[in-house]
Amino acid sequence: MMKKALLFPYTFTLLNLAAVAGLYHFARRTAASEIWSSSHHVHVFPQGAGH
Amino acid sequence: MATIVMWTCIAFLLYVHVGYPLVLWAWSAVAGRAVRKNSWEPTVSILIAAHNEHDTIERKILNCLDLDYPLDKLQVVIALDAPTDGTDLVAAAYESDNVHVVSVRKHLGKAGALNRAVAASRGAVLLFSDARQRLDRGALRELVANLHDPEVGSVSGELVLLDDSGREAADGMGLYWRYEKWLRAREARIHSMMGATGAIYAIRREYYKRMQPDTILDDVFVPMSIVLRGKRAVFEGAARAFDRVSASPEVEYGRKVRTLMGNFQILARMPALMSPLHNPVWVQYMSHKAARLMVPYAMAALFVANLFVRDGIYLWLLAAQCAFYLLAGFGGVLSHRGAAAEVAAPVMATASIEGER
Repeated sequence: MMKKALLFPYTFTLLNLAAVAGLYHFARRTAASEIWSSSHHVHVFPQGAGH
Repeated sequence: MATIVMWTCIAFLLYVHVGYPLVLWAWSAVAGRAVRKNSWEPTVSILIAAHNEHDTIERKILNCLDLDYPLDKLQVVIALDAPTDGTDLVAAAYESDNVHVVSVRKHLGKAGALNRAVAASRGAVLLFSDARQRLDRGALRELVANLHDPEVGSVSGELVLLDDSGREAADGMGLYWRYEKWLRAREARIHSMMGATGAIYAIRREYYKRMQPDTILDDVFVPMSIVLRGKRAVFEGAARAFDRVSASPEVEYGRKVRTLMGNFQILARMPALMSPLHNPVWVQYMSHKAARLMVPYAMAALFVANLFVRDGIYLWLLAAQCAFYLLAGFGGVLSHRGAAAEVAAPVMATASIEGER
């Protein structure tokens, strides 16, 4: 719990930096194909879920 | 002047994070509308855009065919987006009356592939999903029941994030995620969510609007284009998909940048969202989506303005801001050492869901 409280400023700031970076990439017209491929980082199908 | 800037920023930040939720709470209590759900079985096409999904596509196809829904009313359409890892060979082995594979030779991106999948589908209802997430067996029925309401054009399910042991990571994520889910539920109850969960959302076929191939957030574009036509985009918490959370907050950061870039793209391509005359959820959209894009600039302006006003309570405010950013830096150090990744990554991950922000 303490760790989570400590990390709130970090994650909040990271989210805001991401908003700035998002605008930067949008203004630079970064190719959607680059965004598409870079978003593929979780490939493990979840186990023990559902049903 | 600096004082005016400071109080304007403070008012703005308070509205985004406190005032708007209070408005939503009161609004939904007074004017909330339940969805008229009903059990029915329209034909459904499940649409999956797949680039390099060799390791997941087979399980996804089997998962779709195992859903609690009549097979004679179910079609799975796999749009292969120029794969290079043999995904096409795996998918081709499952081609049948229920599984249709569409091959796209040139890499289009997800939206372009989904356009092809829709064109090749035959269902009255279109269910959009990704290759890697597993759908709960009863998810489709739960979604479809919402679409029986003629006012509903789009319905989103819930993406459940799991940790390495298969437990729900969301349970330990704390305030941020609960806060977001609370907002979405209230927004959906009033009229519509401000998007959907890309891993699991369904629409009535007649409301599908073809996307430009480079559209980044199909899960915002498709439901919001339906909202602009006056139909509701609602939420069904009983329809669940499952995914694993990535271990690194920095990786999730990259995902988040993509999401936020997509939100700017949506604003540029759907200017009607900014118009209260055309957007029935204008207040919600401006408060939940557009205003949040401005939060970092308001925070920066607040800090800079505070440097010029340092007397009385303003000195305490400056100290509080400095402490906040120092803690953020400390959290960054912890994260790089791996000590905090298990906490920060899920928070970042949930923030990326549904084109959040």
